Amino acid sequence: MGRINRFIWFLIMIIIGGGVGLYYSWYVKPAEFVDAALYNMRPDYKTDYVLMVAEIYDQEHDRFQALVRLDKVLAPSDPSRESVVEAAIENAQNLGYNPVDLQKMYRLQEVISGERIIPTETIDPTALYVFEQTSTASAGQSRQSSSDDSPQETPTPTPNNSGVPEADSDPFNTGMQITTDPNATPMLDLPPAPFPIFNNNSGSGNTAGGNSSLDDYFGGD
Amino acid sequence: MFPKRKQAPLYLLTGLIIGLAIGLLVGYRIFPVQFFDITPVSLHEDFQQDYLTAVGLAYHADKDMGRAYSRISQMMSPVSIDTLRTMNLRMEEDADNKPYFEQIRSFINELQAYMNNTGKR
Repeated sequence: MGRINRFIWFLIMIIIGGGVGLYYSWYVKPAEFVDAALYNMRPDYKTDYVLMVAEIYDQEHDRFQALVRLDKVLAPSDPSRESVVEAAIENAQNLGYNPVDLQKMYRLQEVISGERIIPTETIDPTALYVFEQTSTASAGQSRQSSSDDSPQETPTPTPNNSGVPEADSDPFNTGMQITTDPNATPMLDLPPAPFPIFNNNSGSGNTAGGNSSLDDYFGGD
Repeated sequence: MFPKRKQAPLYLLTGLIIGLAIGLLVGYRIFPVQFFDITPVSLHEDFQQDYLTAVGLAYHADKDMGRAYSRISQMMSPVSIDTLRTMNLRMEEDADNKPYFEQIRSFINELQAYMNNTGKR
């Protein structure tokens, strides 16, 4: 009985000693955290860092470097870079960031998620190429039907004085000549569709809401 | 018969020491305190360099020195130009930050001018 008592008291002292040790290591003198990573930062600092990445991207337009910088605030528990940026945007809205900064963060989110392509250069809609049917085609056909088997001489393009080589107006021997028409109507300026375009599968298989949309429009039964 | 001497409760002291050792081991090694929500001051020096690079490049993008100074002061207070220059020199050895050495150097120069003009330290 005495031995059992001593063993019990031994265990109790171990527990007490363990409690004292934990209290000391957790509260009195915890380990100093001086080697933290960027993803350990407080959410508002992480939001500011994401804003910095967005500002840098806004100038450099270097998607790869933006991804590399975002990787540094990507914690092991974060599912993706997109989630980090989304959280940063939400935090920025709550903190009242100005609209210009928010716009940059939105743009960064679009770039890294690939949801929308942001063009880096504008396309001139008037720079269109119009195919014109010329008499070359009939001449070509007549040459083919000619009984003369002598090889036809290909006209050598005369060099211009500008030093810039002229483009082949018929590179694929289609019989059509490619010319530019700056007065052509831009193809992007399409008239609006007279009716909404529905994606309706024909047949027995109905998509959700497909047939009902047509019925609503045309006044179905 | 000799009377039995009462033994000192050394087993109690032994138990206490063993428990203390176990507690310290668990508290410092096995389950150390997890720090979240730190400030840039607590960043590892490599990450502080990354932070400095980000601040410098962001300054070159928007030319907002007030904001850049505020960001730098989150990493060190008071802001030490000498420390920043030392960090900048270490960038030459860092493959990730080496391409931005000149930009960060110019940023630090402009930051120093800003601090001299505004009297900030």
